[in-house]
Amino acid sequence: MDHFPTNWGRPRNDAFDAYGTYPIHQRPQNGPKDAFVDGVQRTQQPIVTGTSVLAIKFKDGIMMAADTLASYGSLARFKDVQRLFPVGDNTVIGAGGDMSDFQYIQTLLDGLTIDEFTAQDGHTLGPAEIHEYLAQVMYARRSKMNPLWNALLVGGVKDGKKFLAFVDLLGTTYSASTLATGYGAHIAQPLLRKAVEGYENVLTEEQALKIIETNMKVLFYRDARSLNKYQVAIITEQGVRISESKTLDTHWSFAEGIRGYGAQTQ
Amino acid sequence: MYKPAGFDFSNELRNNFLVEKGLPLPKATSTGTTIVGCLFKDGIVLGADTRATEGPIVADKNCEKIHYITESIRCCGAGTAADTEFTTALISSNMEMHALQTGRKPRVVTAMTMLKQMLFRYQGHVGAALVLGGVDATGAHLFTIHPHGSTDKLPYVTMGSGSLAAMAVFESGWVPDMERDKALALVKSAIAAGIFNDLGSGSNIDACIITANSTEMLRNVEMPNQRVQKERNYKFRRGTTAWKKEDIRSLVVDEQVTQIGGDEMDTS
Amino acid sequence: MTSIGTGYDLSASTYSPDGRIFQVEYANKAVENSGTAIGLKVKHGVVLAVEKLVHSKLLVPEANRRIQTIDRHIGLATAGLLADGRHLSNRARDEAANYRETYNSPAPLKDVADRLGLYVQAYTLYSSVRPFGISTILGAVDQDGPALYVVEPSGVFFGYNGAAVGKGRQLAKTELEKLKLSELSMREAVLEAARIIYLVHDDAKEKDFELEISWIGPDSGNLHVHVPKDLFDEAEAKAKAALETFE
Repeated sequence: MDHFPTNWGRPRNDAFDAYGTYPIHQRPQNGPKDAFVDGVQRTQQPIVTGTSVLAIKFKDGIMMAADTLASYGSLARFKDVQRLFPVGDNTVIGAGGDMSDFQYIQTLLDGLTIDEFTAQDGHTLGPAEIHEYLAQVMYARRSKMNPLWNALLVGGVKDGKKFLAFVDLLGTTYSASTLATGYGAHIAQPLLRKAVEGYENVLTEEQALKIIETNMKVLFYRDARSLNKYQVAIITEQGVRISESKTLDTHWSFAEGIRGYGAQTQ
Repeated sequence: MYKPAGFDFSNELRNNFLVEKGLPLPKATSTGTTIVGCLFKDGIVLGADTRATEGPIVADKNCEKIHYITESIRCCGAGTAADTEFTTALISSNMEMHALQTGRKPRVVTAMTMLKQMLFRYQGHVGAALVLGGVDATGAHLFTIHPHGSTDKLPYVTMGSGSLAAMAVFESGWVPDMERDKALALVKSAIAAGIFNDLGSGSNIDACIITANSTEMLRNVEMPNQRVQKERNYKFRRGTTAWKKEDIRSLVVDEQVTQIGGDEMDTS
Repeated sequence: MTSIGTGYDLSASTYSPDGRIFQVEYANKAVENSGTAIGLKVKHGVVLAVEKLVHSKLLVPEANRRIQTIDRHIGLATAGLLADGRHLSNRARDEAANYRETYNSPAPLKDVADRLGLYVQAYTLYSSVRPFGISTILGAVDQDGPALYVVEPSGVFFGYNGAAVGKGRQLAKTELEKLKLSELSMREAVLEAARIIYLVHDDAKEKDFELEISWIGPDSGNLHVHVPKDLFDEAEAKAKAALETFE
């Protein structure tokens, strides 16, 4: 018996067994899915992507680096892309993941910065505020099953305080003195941690640049979607500096004596 | 019920059907481990962590991952622990037989070929990812062998879930013709990177240095994860459990020791 | 000249027999009764100045801004009903942000003025809403150089080299016409603007007033901001001195 008056006189829905009266076989719908059936597309896959972003805290502030490649699957499509974006005078965002979503984030942040400016109240948005804003946006989008497919690093210095944090497409956030996204999290993090942890207030700019260079080199050796051209952003109390593209020199001479993959000797 | 030897492939039909319907096959994983091998001036240094995991649980905090193949050939194993143990044991046994038959000192490429042919025959179902290194009459050799049977010959290799962390250390620190101490330090550093940055690896560092003249097995050469002393004594005070009656009896009534022959087993 | 409505002035959707919409004209009256606002378009930039009539000694000085910033490069000063002024400046910000999102470029002032004119005019069509009781002076430096527009309550807008709205507009316009605006530098324009505001302020009617000046041009880094304190103090001092000599 249907106890709900609003259902009387209406077509019965046999697929839904409201009282669990007999086991209904839920047939899994695992066939090919039509992505346009709802009239709107939600969860996607990243198309044009950027790979790892690295960031460390050093004596005077934050140093962040990313290579200048935007890949199209396995094609190295755009080899001169800037993946480090300054926001205001004291923050830099580094993005990996879908590049079109990153460009959208840039427009969002631009609008945000202009809104702050028009208020003319002497307040500016610092890295902590930008990070919180992005975390809210990313989590809200993932909750609507329509994420911005990115992993972002937010770094900056405001009022003498260094700030460095991570936020990704799920809305996960964390902060540490060394951060890396993508493959960098597996390959570069161990090296960054060993070099930086404990020395955040001691490392000079040159030392930090050397650490970054070493790590970008290792990433180029071992990440199949990376490039040997990269940029470094240095944020201190004085402001934001984003370098020109630097090229890595790499050593391949280890391969000289190698013949074959096993028993071959010639 | 009689089960024939070898793998049972009777679920293959059902599995393929499920894949077609959209249920993906579980992927073969490289389970928790960091193992490395590196070529230096005088030979090979192999390294491994000592954690064995069962999913998210640490099953063995101090297992040995550097297996014996022959006197101057050793093999580190990552992947399914049983597979690595039995595979290396089998090949080790076969290598000894082979050495006796040929009358020559065993070579690393022989072990490599035996391993790769066996693993290929099992099409990757034997989950053994190995770092094989040793010194033989032709010199020092270092190989890496994947579960499906492919091999690579390289001056420095890493395998296991901690391989990316360890490889990062190698890529930034390896130079050709290193001295023994530097090579050992590099290997320890690489394993440490795996131990501290990968959840599948942990506990202690094992190393093995193989040269033309000697093989040095450095079991637990570094123990960076020792348990701290407990802050308090958690033993119960005598008298916590009250007792009503006490009766002490000596169970040894009469003891006579008679020496017969020696301690050895009589094998005559 | 002014025929008091007599039935044709009850709603904005009614014409008078001689073709006037009285509600719009009454809106203009609201503008005429408020503190003066002026704008100067000079060689490299634009200066806006407002005579802020202070109605209570309890008000915090420099707290109640009359000149708003719209996007980075546009300034907006209003005379009339100040609440309407805030509403319109919010709308202007939305319009400028919308232009930026659509065309990926900062909005030229003529487009913002056009959109605001359209918006203000819409409120003169219906009896259910009232027209905005403000005249808006818009100043900016965009791709085509410095620009100055005024949007009136009727929705009509024109580009100017010098503009004045509010109580003292007649006197201000006379003074502005005397100046060679296209030859003035930004600093000179600021001094002139302060002088004019002090001039048109009628001490007899309202005792207290506050001067507010903003500028946009190369001297301000092409951002619309209030003039720096030292320049502001200099301008105020010179304006007060000029007042002595004028009398």
